[in-house]
Amino acid sequence: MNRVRLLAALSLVALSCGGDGGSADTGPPGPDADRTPDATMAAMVPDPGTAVGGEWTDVEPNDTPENAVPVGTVQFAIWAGFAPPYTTINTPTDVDFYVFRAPPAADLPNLNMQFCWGGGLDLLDLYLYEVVNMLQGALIRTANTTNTSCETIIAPGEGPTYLTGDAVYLLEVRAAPSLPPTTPATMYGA
Amino acid sequence: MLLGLMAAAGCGGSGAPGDPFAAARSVPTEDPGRSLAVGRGPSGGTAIVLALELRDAVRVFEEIDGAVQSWGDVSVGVGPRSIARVGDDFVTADTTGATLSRIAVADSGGLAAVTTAPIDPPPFHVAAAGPATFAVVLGTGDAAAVQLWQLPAWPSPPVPLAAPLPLAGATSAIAAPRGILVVRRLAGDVVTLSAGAAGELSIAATTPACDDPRAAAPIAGGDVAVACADRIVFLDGGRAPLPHQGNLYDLVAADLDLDGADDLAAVDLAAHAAAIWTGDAVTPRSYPLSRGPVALRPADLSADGDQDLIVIAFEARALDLLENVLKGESP
Repeated sequence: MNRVRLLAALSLVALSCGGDGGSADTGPPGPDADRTPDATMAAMVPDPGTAVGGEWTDVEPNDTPENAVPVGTVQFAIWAGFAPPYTTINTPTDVDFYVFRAPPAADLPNLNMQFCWGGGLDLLDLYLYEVVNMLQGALIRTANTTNTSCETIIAPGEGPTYLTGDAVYLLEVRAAPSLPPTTPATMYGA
Repeated sequence: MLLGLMAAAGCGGSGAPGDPFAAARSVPTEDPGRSLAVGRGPSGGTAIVLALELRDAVRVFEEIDGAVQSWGDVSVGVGPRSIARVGDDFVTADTTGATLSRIAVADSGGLAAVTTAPIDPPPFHVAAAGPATFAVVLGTGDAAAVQLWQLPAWPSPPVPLAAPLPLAGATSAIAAPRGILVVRRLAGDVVTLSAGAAGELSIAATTPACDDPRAAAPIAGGDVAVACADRIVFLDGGRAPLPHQGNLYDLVAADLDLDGADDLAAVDLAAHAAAIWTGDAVTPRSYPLSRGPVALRPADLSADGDQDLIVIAFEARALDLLENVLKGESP
């Protein structure tokens, strides 16, 4: 019985993805550094690849860390919304994961990681995670304002505070919880 | 409402002696635009109209005698990603709202009157196909299709001419003498469509281009140039490919050096520059631009008889004007 309970608990841990609870024992300092999602340490993420400043595309399924879209190295800003499949919140519960490499340390101050959209909705929230040994690590930062046009996870000048040059990170784009169920598919870009 | 003269500042670099173009002037737009169209301005100048996806609006500028004025925003459907001039009007593809908006010059001046028509699936790209017709790329991926629409007499909204032609992977379109050219980025080809008498579309040819073609530009004489990330290719093979180290994003053909033949101009997203091939040049001249140039259009600014270039710099949130100085203007 105890063994069954243990297996069930482990299964829940393995299936859990995202979430805000828990506390961080890894990760750089920051206002959200203590918000580690439950049991996401086991999720293996893909290598971000070698592209530099490449297009971010929404290749579904990408709703789990292991299916994150590899987008290479971000240079100054995310480049999304120009190439198909377009970055889109397809449903009010849509989740899109991307795995990227930070620019070299010297370029981190210029980094601007932001998504914007039209339609006047609070469309999405952003969650930035460490990647350690190709496993999803601690939640570094959250951007979940109720802004109806943009959400910014790293503003210009903030890069050195939250990121390490050339390190790999996961970015989760999650439909905002307040999104009406009738919301049409809405593209986001940068 | 006339908001006033916009500040224009050089954004670095300048053409060497003999170059057709002076260094670019940059006009701030405040919001990023993905697409622009050029037409007749409310005051007789050149209207430059940006589709502002984030504002659910188009922003209207007018260039007169070197000065750029802003006429403010005109609300359209939700999420306009693409804009085209059709006759004297403009049409936007409002992707999120799944509408097509028609923008006309209002009686009081300015571009203000708008009518919209629903379209399903949502439109992603529009391109003029005639004096009152335009092609729409609707849907994406396997659900993509192309359809011809018409602008009836004002104030009627746009109406479809015939059923959409399913065309998986279609991303953008442009009219050419041989038909409507549809670029398919993931398929790496350009599909030529023929239009029947009732506006029904059919596939006339499918021509491989390259990995990830970005834009096509018909050239006087019949061939079609296609911008790929790292080169220009010609669909008919009448000219050798033009290799280019960079990330070309948009392409136009126009007689830039006034020799009677089309030249090529592209925006290079990696170099943040315009790459311009005049004559038979294999190596382009490069003109620095503001960050993130994604689209360009030729236009005879100030009506001085030569083709200038207008560029959207998405990342810098600016319009860059490359002034052609062959007719004697000073930079």
